Amino acid sequence: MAELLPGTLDVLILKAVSLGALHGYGILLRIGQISGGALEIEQGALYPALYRLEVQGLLDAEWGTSENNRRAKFYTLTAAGRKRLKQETESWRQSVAAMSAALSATAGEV
Amino acid sequence: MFAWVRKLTMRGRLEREMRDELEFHVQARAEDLERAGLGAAEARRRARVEFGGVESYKEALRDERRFGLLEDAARDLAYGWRNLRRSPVFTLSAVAAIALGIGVNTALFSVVYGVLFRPLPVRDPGTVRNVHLLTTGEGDRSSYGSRYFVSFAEFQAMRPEARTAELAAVSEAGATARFAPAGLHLQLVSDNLLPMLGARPAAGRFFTKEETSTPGVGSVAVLSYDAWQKYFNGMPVTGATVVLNRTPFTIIGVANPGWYGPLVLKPDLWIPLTMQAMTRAGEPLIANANAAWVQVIARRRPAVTDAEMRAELQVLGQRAVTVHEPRRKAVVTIAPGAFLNYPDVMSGAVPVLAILFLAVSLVLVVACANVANMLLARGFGRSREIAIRLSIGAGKGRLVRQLLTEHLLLGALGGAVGLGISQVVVRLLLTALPAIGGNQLDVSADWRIAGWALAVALVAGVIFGLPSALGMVRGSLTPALQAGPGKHGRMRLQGFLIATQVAVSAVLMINAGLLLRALTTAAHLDPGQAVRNVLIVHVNLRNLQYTPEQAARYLNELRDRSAALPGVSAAALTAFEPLTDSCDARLRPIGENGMPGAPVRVSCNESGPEYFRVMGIALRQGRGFSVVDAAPAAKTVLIDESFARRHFGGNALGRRVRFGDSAADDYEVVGVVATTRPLNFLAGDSPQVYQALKGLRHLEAKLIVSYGGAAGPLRQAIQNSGVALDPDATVNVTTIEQNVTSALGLVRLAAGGVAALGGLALLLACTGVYGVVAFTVARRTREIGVRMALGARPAQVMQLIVGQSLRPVLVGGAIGGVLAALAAQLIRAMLYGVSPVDPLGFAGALAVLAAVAAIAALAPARAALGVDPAVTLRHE
Repeated sequence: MAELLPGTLDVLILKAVSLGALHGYGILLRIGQISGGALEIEQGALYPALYRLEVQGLLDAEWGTSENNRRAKFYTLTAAGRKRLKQETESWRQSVAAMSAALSATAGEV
Repeated sequence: MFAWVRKLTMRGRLEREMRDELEFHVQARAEDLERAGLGAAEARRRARVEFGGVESYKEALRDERRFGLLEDAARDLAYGWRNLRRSPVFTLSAVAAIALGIGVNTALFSVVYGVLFRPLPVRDPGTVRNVHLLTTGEGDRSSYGSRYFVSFAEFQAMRPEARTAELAAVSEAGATARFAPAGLHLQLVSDNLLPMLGARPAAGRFFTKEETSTPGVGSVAVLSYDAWQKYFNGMPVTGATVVLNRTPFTIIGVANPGWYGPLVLKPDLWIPLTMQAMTRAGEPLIANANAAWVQVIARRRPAVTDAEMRAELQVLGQRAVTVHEPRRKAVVTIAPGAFLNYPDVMSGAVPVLAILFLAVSLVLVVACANVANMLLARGFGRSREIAIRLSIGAGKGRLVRQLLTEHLLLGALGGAVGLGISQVVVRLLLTALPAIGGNQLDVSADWRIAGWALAVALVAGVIFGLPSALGMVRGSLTPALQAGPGKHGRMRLQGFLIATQVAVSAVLMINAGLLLRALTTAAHLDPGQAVRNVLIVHVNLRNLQYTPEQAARYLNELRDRSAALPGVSAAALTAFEPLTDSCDARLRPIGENGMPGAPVRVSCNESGPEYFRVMGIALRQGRGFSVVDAAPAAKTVLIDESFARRHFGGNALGRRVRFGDSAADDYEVVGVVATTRPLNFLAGDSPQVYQALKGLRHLEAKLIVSYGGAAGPLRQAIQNSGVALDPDATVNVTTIEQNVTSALGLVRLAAGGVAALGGLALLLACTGVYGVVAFTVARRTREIGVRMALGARPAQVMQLIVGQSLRPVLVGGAIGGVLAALAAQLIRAMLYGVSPVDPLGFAGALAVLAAVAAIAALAPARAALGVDPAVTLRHE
């Protein structure tokens, strides 16, 4: 299981929520699911991040009913959140591409 | 803004929602675990453990919510406050250390500010200005009080012309009256001073312009409210006559309670400026246009700037001086109204203040180093918290900002407590100082003093916080926290901080040691003159309106009567108080060829017959003064051996010295006396010359009487003789022992002050040493256990711990010793010949320092001996 890189939690949350409204525990499960179980998040650390994103206006929150009929708080992406996700995804792709190119270089190419 | 208010008012609901949300999470997880096959109770337990510290996350959530729309700063502040509250022992000791440092610093500032800068306690002080007039160039000008005062003629010339400001005048004097046996304090004023500065009559009226315009006219007086209560019990008093200095005055009014005018000493009465002559009989300064004795206080008019006011007064000032002294150039400056806001006071105060501020700043430095050390030690405990904050996306800069906020908060708390401490210290200081009776010095905290404390606190906060904040973040970025390279640097930094504290304490302690040595040395010094069994008799002859001839007759009579009293061995007159006072002069020794040599700076006195017998000063050659030397035409002088040796090759009798410019000012040396040493270090060690007491000087002369046996009855007998000669006389008898004490007073004060500060610094440094050793022991418990398991003896373990901890103490002590020797050069004049590297002073202070530091190191180190190898090896 991979350690989460600093600063990547926010973008993972945005991504998870972009696929549909979710409560906190659901976000945790979805991140596990979409990363193929490779990324694990410290459970309690999720909530300060959620609230921060809400305060920044990237997420909307609303109380609703969970699949097993309990009151839960559901998060959805705002327009600003969608835009931020797009930017972060783009810059993440670029840096991954750059890193892979750099790390796959062989002696002959230099 | 509205959203923010709503957020706060909805706090209860938010708390509930937060709890619900986290609770939902844990339950959902538990249900999943249950589905995976765990028992219900076990599933719930696991879910909770996995989630971690609910409460700490709740705190983090609260931060996010509560200040959602506020700035980061507010959030940092709340975070910092919570952190400080979480470790009360650390917070209390850090705040105490900073508060002590800031307390002594602010106390000094309060006094300096109160005397030199605080706005005057009068109506609308913002537009009150002190007007300074300094003249330079040829001609004779004498000043009384400050060189920046003006003469009565100059004030009268400037006042009606001034358009930019209203000018008022004030001066002060003592007075004698039958109804006030202890004497009275007078303020001499122009008619407008009281109303201009907001005084209102509590009874009667104040002065008119006619009463304060013509010298010698205006025998009316206004009482202060306190004096009215004290001497007249608040009975109707206007129209009554009081006799001040044998001059009748009519009381015309009483000032409102709490109003004391623009000077630091509270007056009992105000009288017109024009009555100056009777306050200084024999020398009417008011008639002399070249005598500067009037202090000018101005009220700037509306819509005028300081620059415009100064420009106008410059022109008026020069014109007023030119009238009677065309050769002199006048320079007018103005300054915000304050008690002693005069350039000569300032320039005199600066060197003393610099040393004092240096000393209190050193204590603050020690306090800062101390707290920096505590923060470093605390940093170890917090590395995990920092690591978590970094991993959930907090930026590095933001983290430093957060820690810095916490440190500033700590500093501000220290500043607030320090402000309280300073108020206590200032009051103690003022009561410890020789009584400055009836002053209106205000040292209470106002916004400027509070601002000073806060500013110092914040600067201190940045200084003591920066090393740990940077170190903590740098350390936290390396993943292997426990074994990272940051640890070593931190240890070094701690050592450095300890060394700094010890060095500073050493500087203060050693200098205190030197001053104490100087005091004992001075007490056993042979000053070459009497230091005991001499009474000094003061009579207020000026206030009795005596002429110089009457004064001479009175004093000679009193001297003869005193000399006849039983137990008295000799009695004499002197112009200056023995041991504490003298005059300065420049004179030129005349060579054998009749040519004057280079000017020599000497200390001088004027005295009558028998003076040298009373003072126990040996006559080496020639004769002492006799009655013939008091004749106006007699020009004789006695010099001391050091002068005789240096300028006359030891053979001085019959030679001449020139006090002025021409041969008319030549004095013949008729005797040589033993060299005396001044006890007052401010007097320096110029040679001493003595002239005969003559004429005008009799008005201020004192009678000195040497005696054997008990002083008490003799004092009473002399007092009775003095009053018998004039029933109005106030005869005040003091002892030469009192003069010895006051001559050493400044050194005693300095020694006490530096010792107190040094003790404070040492206390702080020792808590620092204690903390570091305790911390080392705690951190190395495992290592100690291993060593003991392998057979190390307790002594060896102690040696290891204490030895390492004391290394910075030794380094600091050595550096402090060197710095102390340099600092001692600053106070060399106060050391009475004790060397700035006096071994006794150094050894004593360093021994105290070493002993206290060793105790501070040994006490916590003993904990290491209690380490049980079996337990520590199982540890972790």
